Amino acid sequence: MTFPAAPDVNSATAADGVFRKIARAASGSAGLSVCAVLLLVVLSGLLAPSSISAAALFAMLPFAAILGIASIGQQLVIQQRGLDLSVGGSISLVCVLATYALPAGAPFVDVIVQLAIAIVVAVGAGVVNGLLIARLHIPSLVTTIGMNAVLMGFVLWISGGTPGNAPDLLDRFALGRSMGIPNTVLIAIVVTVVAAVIATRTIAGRRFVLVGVNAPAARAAGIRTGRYEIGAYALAGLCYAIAGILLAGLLNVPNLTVGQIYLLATVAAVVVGGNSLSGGRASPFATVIGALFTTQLGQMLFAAGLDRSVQYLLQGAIVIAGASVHVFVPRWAAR
Amino acid sequence: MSAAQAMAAKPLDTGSAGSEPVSDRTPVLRLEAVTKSYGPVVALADVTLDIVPGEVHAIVGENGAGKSTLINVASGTISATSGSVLMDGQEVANPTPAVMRGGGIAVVHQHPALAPDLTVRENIALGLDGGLPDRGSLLAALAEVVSDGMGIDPDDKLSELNIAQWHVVEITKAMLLKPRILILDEPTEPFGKGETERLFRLIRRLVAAGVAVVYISHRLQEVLSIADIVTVLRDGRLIATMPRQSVREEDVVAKIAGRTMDRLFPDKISRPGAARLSVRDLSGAGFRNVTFDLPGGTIVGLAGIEGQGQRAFLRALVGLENSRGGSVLCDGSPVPFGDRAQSLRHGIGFVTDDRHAEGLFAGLPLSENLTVPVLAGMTRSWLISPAREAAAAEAAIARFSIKTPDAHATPRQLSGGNQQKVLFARELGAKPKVLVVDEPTKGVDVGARFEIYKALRTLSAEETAVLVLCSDALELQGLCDMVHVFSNGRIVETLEGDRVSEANIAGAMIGGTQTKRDAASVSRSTRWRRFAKGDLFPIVPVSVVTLAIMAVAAVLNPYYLTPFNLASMGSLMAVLALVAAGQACVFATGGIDLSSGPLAGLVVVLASFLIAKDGGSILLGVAAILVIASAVGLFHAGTILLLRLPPIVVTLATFVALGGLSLLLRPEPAGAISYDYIDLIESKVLGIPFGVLVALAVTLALAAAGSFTRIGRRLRAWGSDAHVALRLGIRPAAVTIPAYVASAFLSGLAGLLLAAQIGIGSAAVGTEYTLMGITAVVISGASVTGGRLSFLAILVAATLVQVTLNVTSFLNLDTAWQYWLVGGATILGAAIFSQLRGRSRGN
Repeated sequence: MTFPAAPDVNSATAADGVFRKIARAASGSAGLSVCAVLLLVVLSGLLAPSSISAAALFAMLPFAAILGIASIGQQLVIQQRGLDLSVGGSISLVCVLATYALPAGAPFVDVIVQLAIAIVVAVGAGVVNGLLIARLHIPSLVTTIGMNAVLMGFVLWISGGTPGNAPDLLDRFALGRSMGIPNTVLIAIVVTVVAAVIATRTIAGRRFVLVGVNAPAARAAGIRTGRYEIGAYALAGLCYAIAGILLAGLLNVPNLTVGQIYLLATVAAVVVGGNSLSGGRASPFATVIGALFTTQLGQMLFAAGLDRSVQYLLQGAIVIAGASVHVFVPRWAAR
Repeated sequence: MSAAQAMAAKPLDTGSAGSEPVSDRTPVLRLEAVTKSYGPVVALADVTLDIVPGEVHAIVGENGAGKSTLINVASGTISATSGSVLMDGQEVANPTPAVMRGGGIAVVHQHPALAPDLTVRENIALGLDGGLPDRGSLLAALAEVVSDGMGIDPDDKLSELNIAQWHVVEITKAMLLKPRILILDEPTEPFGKGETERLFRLIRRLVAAGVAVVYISHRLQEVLSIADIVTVLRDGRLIATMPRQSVREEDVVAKIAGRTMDRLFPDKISRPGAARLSVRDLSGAGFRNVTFDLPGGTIVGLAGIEGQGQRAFLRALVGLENSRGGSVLCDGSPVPFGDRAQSLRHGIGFVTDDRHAEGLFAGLPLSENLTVPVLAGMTRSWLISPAREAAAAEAAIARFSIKTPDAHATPRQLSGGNQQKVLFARELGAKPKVLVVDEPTKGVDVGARFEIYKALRTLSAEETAVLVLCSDALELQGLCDMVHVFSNGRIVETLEGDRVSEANIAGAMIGGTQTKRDAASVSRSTRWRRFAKGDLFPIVPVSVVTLAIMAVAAVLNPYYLTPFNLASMGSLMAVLALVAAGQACVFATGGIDLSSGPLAGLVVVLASFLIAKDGGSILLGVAAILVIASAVGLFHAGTILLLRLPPIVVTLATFVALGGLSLLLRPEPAGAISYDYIDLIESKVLGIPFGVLVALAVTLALAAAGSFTRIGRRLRAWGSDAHVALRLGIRPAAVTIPAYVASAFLSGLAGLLLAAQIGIGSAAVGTEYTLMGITAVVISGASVTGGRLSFLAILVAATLVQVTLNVTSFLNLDTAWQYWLVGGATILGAAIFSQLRGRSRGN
């Protein structure tokens, strides 16, 4: 990863720009989400004190991190005015590939090779999605709902119906901490920062945003819009792969349909983070905070004795509420 | 009596309610002091017009003179800013399209209000808000308008007809309304001489019968041959209303063009340099054999009546559309066709005429809008430098004196003129060799116009070649050194130097419009061809595949074709067919309902409470469940309409929430369902399971409703083209509510059948039906973007899906195949049908 570390004459103004951007982001939708998370922590303390103990938070954070990474993938697709319904199949398949036929004590190289295969497969599925959508003009949801089924077919075919065990190396990494911070959280931070830097500071990232904001205008300005659309699905696949690998390590024996809960959860995280569902600019920071919010909410409800079923109901309500807030706020602002 | 006298006579005071049918010059329609303004732009200024029965009233004027605005006010499509519309002397309080249509006004639109995926008969029924006309009388009506009805069959889909045939249908629709006032907007545009003459004979017959006709066209000779009264509009003002007998063609042309030079233009300082752009024999969709050179240092204009190929040519030139033949050389190097990125790289800059849809990035700050083509120059060690970007933006803002608070403002905060300057500044930042501008001053205030003209002149002085397309002849006169006039897809006249004048341009535009040849006799579509292109056709391949799979399975496994297996397949197929039919109702409108599977699952759980083993009335339970299911559909429609959320988001949320509700009600499978109920569903009538009969009956009912009811046509019209549907007066709620309620109701029905198969309240079933339902709809050939579908084909497709799932277990295939086949069929089906449709639409 490259940072603009080289001290040059303009570094002060460049840093200023970054700070200004952060300040602007904080006052925007991401800022609102941070407030929501803080409110939730207070609420958790009141309703279910056990859910904000250090132990509970450290148990929650890896799941929030994984959801955050997967949600950044979903966010990329939403930025291109699509919706990726194959996220569940993709994560499930990565979990299977990351655990398939690897003995607990598998050597480092074997594990890396297999994880690389998992990543290639997930990215490949994304590229196929993107090609079908951008080149054959099949609606995103028809394509991705079909792809989800195809990927689930591979899950059953490869696993033979029984989930495998993650190798110790992967377990240790996913459960481990560096400098006191869970590795999953560190990876999420890296993914988020890389995504944000690419989106705001690189030519490709800028063009990606332009295509999402107004594809016909981007085309008229000489940008090859199809490539960026395909890129969105491919990079989404990469995010799902990273999330799936960490999830496999965290759970050790991932259920075969473990990915399917990520379908609505990723959309919820993007929406709750305050990103628009109508495409264009979106903030990975906001999405990750959205993921943190929904995960902690789930933990709090669980600690308060509420069932999984209620969580599903609430998730549905949150998505509708979250999406409509951003439909209404611009209207009020415009008055 | 002259028209002026007629207008002065104020015939409103007659008070006679029973208007005489024959021409006594009592206006049947009067526009009084009508003004229509859009912000600062006045489209129509204080126009008073009388439309009298038994006369053809022609309205002529240049592009943008206010003709369309005038008829839109008269037909109730737009409401005037001030002034009033009177019918039979009575002021119309609230002129809407429905009210005006009720008053006897029929409009033949320049862009026909027809839904492409519906047949001619269905479109007529929609337009008349009545039932389907029978084939015989419709054929006769078509033949009345054009000889042999131009080969149109009443059961042809509009998407299979050409543009001339669309106009024939549009005119026929207006005739069938039996109007008292007929407004024709460029009715002969795609017609040849013979067809035009026939239409004129029809118009004369109508006029003789006392109909008032308003006729708008740019074909002046045609207009003068049919008109009784001629009204000239210019810049939204009524210039003159004259009886036909007392005017000559030259007078009318002079009145159309005779504008005073009210705008400032920079001096022309053209010193033509070498050709920077050479277009040779370029042909494409809408234009052909275009050849000219674009010298540096000059501004060259393209002119033409709307739709004569000049814009199609322009867009092909910049690479936004494809070209078929010829060549484009920019500074000697050939520019590839249909590749905007390449033509930009070759130095062709472009400013669009629709800056909102295709120009600006409205939500992004100016700094990011202005640097789009020069991003490569904004980087410092691979990363975009905000400092550089800001500096570049500030420089562009200063150079074009764009009025903005700062570079962080978004284009939304700017006036139209400043938005246009942003686009110019952006394109010029890339230092183009050739700048192509579509309507340089559209929606730009007068002050900013001069600055844009000046910028174009400065640019051309710097040896950039400038090509502008402009519908305002006066602007072309003031701005251009040379003007090419388009007609019928080719350049018909080139004006240079002093000859670049408004009168010459307008004359060339109007005079150059040759009458097209009559359409070569179009062969009438055959019954077979209509079937092959129709919504039912996919039944053939889908049935063949289904039967083939069953045959293979029957050969390989003797237990396949047993009554037991067939019955169990049939019952499962019934569930799927109902879910798919529900999904299709939503697909028809261009929406989607992801919640259909979980809703069917919830119904199974509900059945374990409401149709329980030792419960009360089965009928009551079934009714209660269907009411609950329909309520879910109402919730979807309400959320989509009131919160304006995309259907996918709403139904994805309920997809998960309904699953949660099922789990909440039945955390573990429990609650046996009434045996009486199960026996009822599993009973057989004539050897066919009851569920299959239900699915069959529902499918047939829906197929009939889709084709023969008003609501069915409206749903499909909405999915086919929502803009047309809105113009026909169909409201979003009238489509969204029935579609989503029907989908949820049918999922509920499917759940009721499923409940009998499961026999116990379980939250684990149902979800998979969402995908399977979508799969069945997609492989039935229904359009995934709405408009086209056949419930019969969906029933067959549902059978195919169920047969496929069932056969995997008989052929000892891995369960993975169930997923692959369903998922693969969805993608493959969508891909195949979208390619087939894409090709047929392209023709």
